[in-house]
Amino acid sequence: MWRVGFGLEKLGLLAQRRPVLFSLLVLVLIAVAGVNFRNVAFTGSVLAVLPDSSRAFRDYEEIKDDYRNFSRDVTVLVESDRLLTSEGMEALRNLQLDISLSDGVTNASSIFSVPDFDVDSGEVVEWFPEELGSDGETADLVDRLIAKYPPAASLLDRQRKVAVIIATLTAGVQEDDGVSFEAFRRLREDALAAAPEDFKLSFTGLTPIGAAILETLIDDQVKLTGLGLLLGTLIAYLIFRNFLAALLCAIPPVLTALWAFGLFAFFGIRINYLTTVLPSLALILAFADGIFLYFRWQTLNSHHHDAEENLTEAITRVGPASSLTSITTALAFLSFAYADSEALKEFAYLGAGAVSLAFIAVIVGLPVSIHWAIRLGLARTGIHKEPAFQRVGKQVRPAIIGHPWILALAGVVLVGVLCYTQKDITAEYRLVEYLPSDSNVRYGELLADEVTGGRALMLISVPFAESGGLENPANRARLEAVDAVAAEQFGADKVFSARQLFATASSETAKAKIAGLLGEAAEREGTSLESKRGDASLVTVRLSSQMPVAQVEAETRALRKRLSALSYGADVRVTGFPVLMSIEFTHLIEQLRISLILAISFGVVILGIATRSPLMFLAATTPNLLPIFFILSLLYLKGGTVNMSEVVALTLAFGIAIDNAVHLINVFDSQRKEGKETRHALASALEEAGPALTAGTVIICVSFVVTQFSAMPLVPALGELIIATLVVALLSNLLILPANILTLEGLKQRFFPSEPQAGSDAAETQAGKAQP
Amino acid sequence: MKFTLFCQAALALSLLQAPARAETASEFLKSLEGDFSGRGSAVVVGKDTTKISCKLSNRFEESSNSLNVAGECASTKGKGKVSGTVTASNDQLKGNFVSTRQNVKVTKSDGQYANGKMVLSTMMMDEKVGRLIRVRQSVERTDGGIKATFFTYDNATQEYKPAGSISLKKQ
Repeated sequence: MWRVGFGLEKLGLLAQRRPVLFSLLVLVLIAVAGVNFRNVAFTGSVLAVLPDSSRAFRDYEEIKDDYRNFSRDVTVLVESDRLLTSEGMEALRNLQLDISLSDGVTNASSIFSVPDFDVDSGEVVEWFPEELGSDGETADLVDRLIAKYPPAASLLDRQRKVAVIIATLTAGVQEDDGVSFEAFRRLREDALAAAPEDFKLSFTGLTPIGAAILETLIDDQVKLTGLGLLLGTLIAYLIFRNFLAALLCAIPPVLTALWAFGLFAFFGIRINYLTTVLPSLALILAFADGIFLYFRWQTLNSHHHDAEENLTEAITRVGPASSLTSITTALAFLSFAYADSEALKEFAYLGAGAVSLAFIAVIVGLPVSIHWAIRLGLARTGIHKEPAFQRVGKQVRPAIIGHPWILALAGVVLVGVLCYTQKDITAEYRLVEYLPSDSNVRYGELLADEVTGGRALMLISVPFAESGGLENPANRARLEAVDAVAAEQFGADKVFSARQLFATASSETAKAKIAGLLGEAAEREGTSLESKRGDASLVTVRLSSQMPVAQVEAETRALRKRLSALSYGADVRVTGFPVLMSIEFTHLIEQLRISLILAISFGVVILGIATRSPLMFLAATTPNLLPIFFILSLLYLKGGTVNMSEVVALTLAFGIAIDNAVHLINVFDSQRKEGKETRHALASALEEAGPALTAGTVIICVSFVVTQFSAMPLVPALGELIIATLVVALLSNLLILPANILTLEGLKQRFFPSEPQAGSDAAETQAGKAQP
Repeated sequence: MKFTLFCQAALALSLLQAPARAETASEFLKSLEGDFSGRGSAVVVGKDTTKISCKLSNRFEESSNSLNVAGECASTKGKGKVSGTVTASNDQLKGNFVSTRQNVKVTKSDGQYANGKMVLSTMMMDEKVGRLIRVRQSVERTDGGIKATFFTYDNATQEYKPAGSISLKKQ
């Protein structure tokens, strides 16, 4: 009767016939996964999903090589009520010195580091004296320094009483995530130990962010996997009210989780903020499919006493659906391979692998476990229990059978309208969305963004016209011109470059001296002002890390346009973290949206192939597009943007949701083959499949509640979107899909009338209407 | 650069922690083994003193009666490494210190330990500008720690002038 599983269910039947062999096979897989389990590794890098061969990425890396690695800077925020007093400022200076001496730190800067030069000689002079005077004198010093060098305001917010210390990690430490995270932890420990009690410290920057994400990923894996298994077992217990049932249903997800981690470790792939969801997702799918199979087996047990025979029947009936569930979900994952990103390709293959492992755990692990439970005399037959949601099919039937074309038309119109809104949805990336909620680093990032006037740095590299570095007036003229362009667009207080230092010098001698000092520092350790080779200078623009990527993209375009007025404008490189993200994430999200279309196409085509019916292919289109467009429209209403995890969630949700259509269509198909006319067949399909689909959706949705316990904001969002999509998909497949089938069958009869058969539509329309 | 001065000074400070009785220079150096850190002031840039912080690790070699010094000093303008070797011979101390700063070479360094006080003098050449730099460190014990005073040689007056001080504590 079930023919949609491409015969993969035979694996389960084989496992039932050769339980010893397959039990050994399962044990071998457990052993292999167990051996590899200790090698599971994680990465907290937020750049992990970016394609590292792109032009934008190369530009970003080159700038870091040419100047210094800005991405590893650790921003320490210091809050204290006495910060603006002499005592407070002295404590701040001491803290800066202590942070400087932390292992793995090259240098630490604060407002005390702002360089000042003698106007005549260009020699460096100390702005702050060794011993600070009265509170009033100190405040005056700060005010005058900021008036002289406006960008210094980004290091001390006088209104909020927040100071900023920026620690640069040493070059050797910067290259390795693990080492840099370790250096950051030492720095944090040293800083917290050195800070006075009334100093509140928070930390941000890509390194603290990466370290925080890493800690959360590890914590999440333990929490989500543990809670997922617990929740799933609880659902199984609530459904079956039997400990053995709960235990048996927990076996496929346990196997899936173990094998999935083994898969990661076996291929030496580090779990990142994207792939972290895979073990939990696969585990949930294994639970849902396992419960379906067990449910069928238990239902059969209530009517027939041969438990082994019932198991064979359950595998034969549920196995094909599980196969197709796995195929469509795996295809949804594989659609991510379309993206340029190696990390997304990894996600695609690992996701498909994890889904396959979940399928094996269900189709092999569960039958084998049930077999041994039967052999041990633990299985009982002859107990009847009515399944949950038994009346769902009957309840929706009148709405469909009565006026199918209204629902079908409503589906088409809704899809059309909702599809139209898609053109205005833009890609979005906000760093803060990737930060663990309630974390110190999230607080630090938000605070730093306000205090510094924008923590995201746009980097503009100005190539020199001639040799001689900044000592050459022609090169300084270029720097001044580009600085002026940036200041005009973003505001002078957002722009920082060596120009401001030269502006304080009164003579060419002083400027040459300053240039010499800058060149020496750049060559020695790399600075944010002049390139190490002395062939370019940098203009830095502070942007809010909350700025939407579309706006960053627009600002970058506008800047390039302004720069094009300069004869050397085309040679000026514009990059930086926000620019990189605006280019790459926009591109990546666009590609993911194509992946979503691919996933939809794959799913519907597979459905068409499985049912061998173009009519079913058409009927399934609107009910399965509707949930996706509905959720996208909600996102549009929420802000008009879609981020990466939302597209990923929608794609995965589609892969899971389309199974509703498969189940319904196949029961309908089998009913038709038994000779029932369309309405009767559909009524029977709704009655049989409706409760199962509702139960399945409830099981998966409840299981996805576990994502709400993640501290990573993306994971709960992903869970919420999948739950919302599945609920809409259930409704559309219970209401619009049957309506589409009826309408299309009606149209088919009208335009391509066939010979009346026994139980034909025309003869039995009234009977169909008369169904309760 | 004058950043070297406080690195040198910090290094000299590590040569402290003398025991109560009179002792040989070798015993004095041996007593300096260990990890030290502390805060003080020194001339880093320009002519004025500024706050500094240092962290040093000293290891004594019996065979050569020498003390190897490694560590870092930081000011609000930057951070530099200090490393070197000081060898004891009777009451005399000598050796050369190597700064990581470019273009500066130590040409001569010697000192004397007597009556619980050590004086170490160093001459350096700034190879970039061809200027000779002379510094001196005077070190004495205080309650619970060590205090050192730094001097730089003023060519105009031909006298050593105070250039900061620092206190280090054993970790």
